[in-house]
Amino acid sequence: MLHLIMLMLLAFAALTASADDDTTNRDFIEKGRYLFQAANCYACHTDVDSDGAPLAGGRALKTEFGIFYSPNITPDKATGIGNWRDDEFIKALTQGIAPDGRHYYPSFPYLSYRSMDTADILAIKAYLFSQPAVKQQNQPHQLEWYLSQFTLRIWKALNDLIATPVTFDGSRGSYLVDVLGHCNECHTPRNVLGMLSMQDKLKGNEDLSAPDISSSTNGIGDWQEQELADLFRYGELPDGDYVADHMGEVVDNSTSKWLDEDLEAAIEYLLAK
Amino acid sequence: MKNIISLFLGLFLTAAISLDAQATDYEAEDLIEYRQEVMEAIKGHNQAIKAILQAKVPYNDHLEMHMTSLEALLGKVGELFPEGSDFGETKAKEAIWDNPEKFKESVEEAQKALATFKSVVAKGDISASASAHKKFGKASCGNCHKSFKQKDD
Repeated sequence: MLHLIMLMLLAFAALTASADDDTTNRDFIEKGRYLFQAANCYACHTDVDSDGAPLAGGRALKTEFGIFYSPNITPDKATGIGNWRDDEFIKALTQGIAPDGRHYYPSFPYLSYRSMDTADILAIKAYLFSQPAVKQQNQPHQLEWYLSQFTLRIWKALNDLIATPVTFDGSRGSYLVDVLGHCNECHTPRNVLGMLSMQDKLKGNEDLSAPDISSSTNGIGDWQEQELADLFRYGELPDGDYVADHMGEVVDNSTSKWLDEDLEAAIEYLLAK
Repeated sequence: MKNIISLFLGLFLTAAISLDAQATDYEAEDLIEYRQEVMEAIKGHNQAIKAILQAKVPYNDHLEMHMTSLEALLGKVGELFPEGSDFGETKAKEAIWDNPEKFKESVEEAQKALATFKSVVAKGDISASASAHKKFGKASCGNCHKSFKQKDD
């Protein structure tokens, strides 16, 4: 009889533990979903123009250096990231290096993501691995003749040597703007080598038609907090127009989904003089 | 019988030529300028609605007029992008002509969003209307600009 009671107690404990694990796992995935949105992964990794499968890549990013095609980040083991270990995923996001040792071009914003919290990176991975696997081969980039893995390695070494790293001041606002939102990648000008000129942080990049969003009067220094809130929530500009193209996607996929406290933190950070 | 067939063929060809003439008999620059004026008109009505709902002006009785105007203008947006008006001083993306069905759906979504907004306004709650107006803007102008308008230079 005693054995039976012990067995039942053990079974109950196991069931309770399993339920707790499920809840913890669900919470972790949910956290990952929110961070995935804040990092705006969807827009680049989904070929929305051709109604492509979510996160299966293939989206063409046309730049002055050629056309980059985003990779498949679904958990498909053959064509996606289904076989990636945690440390490989962390290395990809923070160092721009794939599990096979190949380097990513900076069209992937690893220079911004390098300050991302490790637990946050793993939450994003958990979310991605909870999504449907899609078998879709990655397309090779179509780049200028001088761009190769060799020149990319030189560029990365030079960038680490001479470029000022993307700033992160430790605040939630900076985390949302500089790290997850990777706003500098488009809104901070680049030098002739394509490196971010952080001394002109968020002062606009004409090549990308990305306006000055610094807190100077040339940027958004004269904006009211509510105007920025309307931009991030609804894509509405102070003159009544609406943001277009990639920024429209940023609003739709990312900033409009920010929690209220994150919206406030981002606005406070951007408007700080 | 032969005459009737000839007559129908003639009518069909005349109609086809007439339809084609709509896009080709006019200067692309004029067509582009016209649609930009219509877009400005949409923006103007939208901004006027915003001012009323924020109680910045005492013209609550103008709301209906602005919404009716928006309804009429949105109903014409689909006509404003004929073939041949996709170059020059325009921020319209090629996707409008490359994927006309998707563009049509986007315009229809804007019309539906306006209908939703109107139904909220009809209940007379200004605060709820102001909130619904924000959502209308994102689901109409914002949604269309995201896929079919280039960023400013």
